Amino acid sequence: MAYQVLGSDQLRRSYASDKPVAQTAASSADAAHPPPRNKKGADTDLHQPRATQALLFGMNIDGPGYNVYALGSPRSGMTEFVLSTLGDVARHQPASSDLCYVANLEKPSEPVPLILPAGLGRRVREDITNLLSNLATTIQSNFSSDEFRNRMNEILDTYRQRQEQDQEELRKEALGMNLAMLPTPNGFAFAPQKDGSVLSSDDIEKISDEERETYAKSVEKLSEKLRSRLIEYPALQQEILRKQRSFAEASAKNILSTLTSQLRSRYQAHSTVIAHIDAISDHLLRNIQTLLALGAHDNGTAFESGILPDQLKTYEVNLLLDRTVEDHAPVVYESNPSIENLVGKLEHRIEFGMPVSDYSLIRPGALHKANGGYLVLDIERVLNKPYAWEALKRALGDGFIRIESVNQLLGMSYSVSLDPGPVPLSVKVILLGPRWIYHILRQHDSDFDAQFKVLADFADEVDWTDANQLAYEDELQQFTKRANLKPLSPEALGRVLEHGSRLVADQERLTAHTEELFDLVREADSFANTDKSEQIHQSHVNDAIAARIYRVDRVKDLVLRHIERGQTVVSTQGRCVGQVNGLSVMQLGKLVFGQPSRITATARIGRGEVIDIERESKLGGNIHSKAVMIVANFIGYQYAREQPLSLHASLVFEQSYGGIEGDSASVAEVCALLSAITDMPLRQDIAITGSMDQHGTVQAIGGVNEKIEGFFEVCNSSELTGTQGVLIPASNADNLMLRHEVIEAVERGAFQIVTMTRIEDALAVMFGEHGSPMNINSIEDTIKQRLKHFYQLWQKAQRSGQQNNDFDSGGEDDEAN
Amino acid sequence: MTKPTRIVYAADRVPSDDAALRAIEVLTGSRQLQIQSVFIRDSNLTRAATLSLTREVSREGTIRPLSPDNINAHFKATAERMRAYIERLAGQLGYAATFSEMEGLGLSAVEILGSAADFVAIVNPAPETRSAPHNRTLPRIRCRTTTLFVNEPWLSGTTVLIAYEGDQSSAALDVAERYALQTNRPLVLLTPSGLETTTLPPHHTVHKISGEWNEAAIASACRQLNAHLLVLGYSTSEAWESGPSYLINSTSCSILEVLDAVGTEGINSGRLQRRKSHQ
Repeated sequence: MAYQVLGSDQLRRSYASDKPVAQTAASSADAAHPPPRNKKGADTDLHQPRATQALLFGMNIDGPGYNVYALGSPRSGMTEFVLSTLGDVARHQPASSDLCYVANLEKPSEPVPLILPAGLGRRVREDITNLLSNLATTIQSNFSSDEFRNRMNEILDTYRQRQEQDQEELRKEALGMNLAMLPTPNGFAFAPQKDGSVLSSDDIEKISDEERETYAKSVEKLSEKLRSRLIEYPALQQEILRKQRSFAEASAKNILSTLTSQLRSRYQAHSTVIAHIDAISDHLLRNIQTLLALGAHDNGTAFESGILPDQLKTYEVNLLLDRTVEDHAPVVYESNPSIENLVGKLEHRIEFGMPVSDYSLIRPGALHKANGGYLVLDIERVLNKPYAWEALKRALGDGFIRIESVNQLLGMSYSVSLDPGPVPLSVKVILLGPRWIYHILRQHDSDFDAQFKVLADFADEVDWTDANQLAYEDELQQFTKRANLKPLSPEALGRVLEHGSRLVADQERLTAHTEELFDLVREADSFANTDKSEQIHQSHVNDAIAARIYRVDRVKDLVLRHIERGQTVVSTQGRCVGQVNGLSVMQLGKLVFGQPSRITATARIGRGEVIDIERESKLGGNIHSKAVMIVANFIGYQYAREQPLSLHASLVFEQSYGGIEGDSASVAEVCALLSAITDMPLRQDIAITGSMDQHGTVQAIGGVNEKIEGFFEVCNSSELTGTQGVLIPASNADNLMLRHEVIEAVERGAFQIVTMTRIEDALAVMFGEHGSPMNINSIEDTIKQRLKHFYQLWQKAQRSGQQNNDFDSGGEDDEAN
Repeated sequence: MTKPTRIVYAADRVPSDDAALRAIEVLTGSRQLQIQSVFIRDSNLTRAATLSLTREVSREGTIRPLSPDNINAHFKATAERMRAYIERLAGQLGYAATFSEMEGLGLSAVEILGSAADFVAIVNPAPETRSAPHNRTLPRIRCRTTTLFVNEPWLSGTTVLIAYEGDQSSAALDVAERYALQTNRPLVLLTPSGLETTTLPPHHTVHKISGEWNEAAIASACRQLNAHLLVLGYSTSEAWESGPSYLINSTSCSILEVLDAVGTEGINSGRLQRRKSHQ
């Protein structure tokens, strides 16, 4: 026989038996916090060599679209690993560029980016600020100097003198005509006067008509004369202003030339800086009134505070990225990848109730910060932010960063729009995300493949080798140091690793989800604190695991209680025809648990149909239906190869009110069907799980630990009989990481785990009696005889011409019987 | 308790800024100013507006009759703005202030009020632009007290000048020195060419006026030295036909006429002199 009863040492991989390499090294070092024994990058699977290689490939290859999608669980520590790996590589790459924005003096709505070598941005900003400050001081000093003012006044005096001369002439002429020339709010008025006083109405009444006429004519004459002169003044004034402006421009040009000469020399290799200096000079000279306004300050201390006059602030440099202290390429992780945090944003200030912006309010995004280096993003977060994914793809596709807000994209911007010049982009983007998003993007986003050509596939589990165990121990101990937790005792360390193996249900594998184990250590530390222990011991880890289970297993207790009270019928003793204990796994949030399911079968003469009641009632999934078809064909092929399978059988999961899916009940279903066909009882103290092929080979199933533990708990809730146990596929033996209470029961002979490789193994065990297997030949003979008998009955029925009516409908047949 | 310094603050237009009041603070050395602000309605203009044959020529060259309604409305609006301005400014500075209107021949009407004050400030507001000083024609005014003629806008110039004629100018020198010191400005003494060097106070920059010592020469020096404030003794301008009004009309700086021995004849001695005697 190929079935095998497993020993307790086969039911779980124990850390204690495998620890010598790690334990020796650990105990010889600092007992509290052993130093790391594995450097990152060591060739352990824990460090994801496949993904690392892909990551490094993506980082090192030039060319469009060679960005990386790092595929894996966020619980695997992938983010930290990617950032750490990128950091190691970036450390040997040159620092990226500084980024500044300056006003576009020709097109104010399109600020100009200045891309400068690292550290130069700050210097340029300081130099430009100093230039402006010096300019303010020099212009103020120069334009308020006696020499400048005198020259400006000289120019002005020609106009003043002309005005005063005209005024004086007219005043004297008016006086000669006994008229006063009076300044009025709008100009001048001429009125009759005597001895400096204007005549009153009464005075005018007293003079003769001739005199009045003379006054009127004189007033008309002088008014006309004054008018003819006044209308010449605007042109004269314009000419004066032009001369003054020319003089001021010439003075300013000299000052600017002197002040900028040193900067031009210093930045001769940086054409964009020179262009900005030129732009400042040109703009100031074209807007000389700006400088004249500075000159109007007569207080020499006006600029001592270091605050630039408002007129000059528009020429300042907005330094967005200062990499003065950076000596390598940037690695940026943006945890909130909204569109504004990716491509930068324009801040606003309120002026007259309206939001306005200018180049000084441009703020960098993650793409700016990572430009020349690496940008790491969580794809789920990117996709959750409106327009962020589109903006990211657009930037990568165009090779430029363009600042655009959601409001602008939606046409909802109420502020004066600003369109900052685009910044050339050279960045490697590493997206962190789960597998399903990767496949969805590949399928539905035509840009994705072209822009993310490299896949770094992070495994969810790793082999439990010595090297990986060492690496894991280091990770765990380093974690306790980082998190300021108590150190793990060797036994506790082993218990945590065993839990890592249990999480992936494999004695040969460990979970790669380091975060899961870190959380367990953190929780165990809490129990160690309660115990006032200096170390985290194995018992603390056990407590933490038990507490985790307890927190979520209320539903499991409910299920168990229903079985105990007989509300859910599960037999764990005796034998029964057409009934077997299958095992299923339920997942409710974080709770995963196994439970026995009573599978029953019926069989009678028929046309070779096996009815899957779950499917008929639309409670069975496709895989389960497929499995039932395999079962039916196996029975026909194995036991009725030379005759029609003349039976009508049915299968059902009793008291199952939810859906049934999967093929792990295939072996159990075969047992139930054959029991129903042969009327031979099946053991109820053995639960069975396993799928099978059409030839009867038993195949592995999932959730083996939970299933065994589920049946164990049901049996253990009364009293273990000593014959109870679970029949599992032999190929699942390596997946066993059972709880200690199950192992203890096996050790004392109260429970057993039996493996099978073929269906015959299951039949031998399940049809056995008093703990002994039944001879398989005997079983098979019985089956064959029974099927043959069915066939004979079927033939007989055919001959009697009743077969159509009697056997087409099971319901009618049942009623007939 | 210190007696408040009574200030007459007169203008026929709304002052352009608080420079005058700030200067008065420095010049009087008092933080207790009692400001009597006066708006002068030009009687000539009022009368002229009632005459049908009067014509007004606007700066744009339009000739039209001078409307009494327009002139009255202008006076009313300007007076109201000046009142609001003074009240706000006095409130900010913590001074007591009153406001009144009076009619007279330009700012000279303030002479009567000024005689009863400790200090008179006559604001000669500039026209709309400094390049058009056509209506900056302050008549000769003698207030018999220390008088500040403010040539607005009072932004130009850096130097404090004093027309120094010897001992008789000592009161003016005292004020000029203090003002220059407190406003951190250079002080230059303008002196007649014939003045004995030995009579000059030490440690001062001196600018001798060559030729005749008259208002035209001093006005020229004011322009040349970029004057901010010209300080005169009362006796200095006494001899001039137009008093300080010529200087007001022909320079950009403001003028401070300090009461001295000539000015005090027959009237109370000035507050500034009293302070000097305490030093």
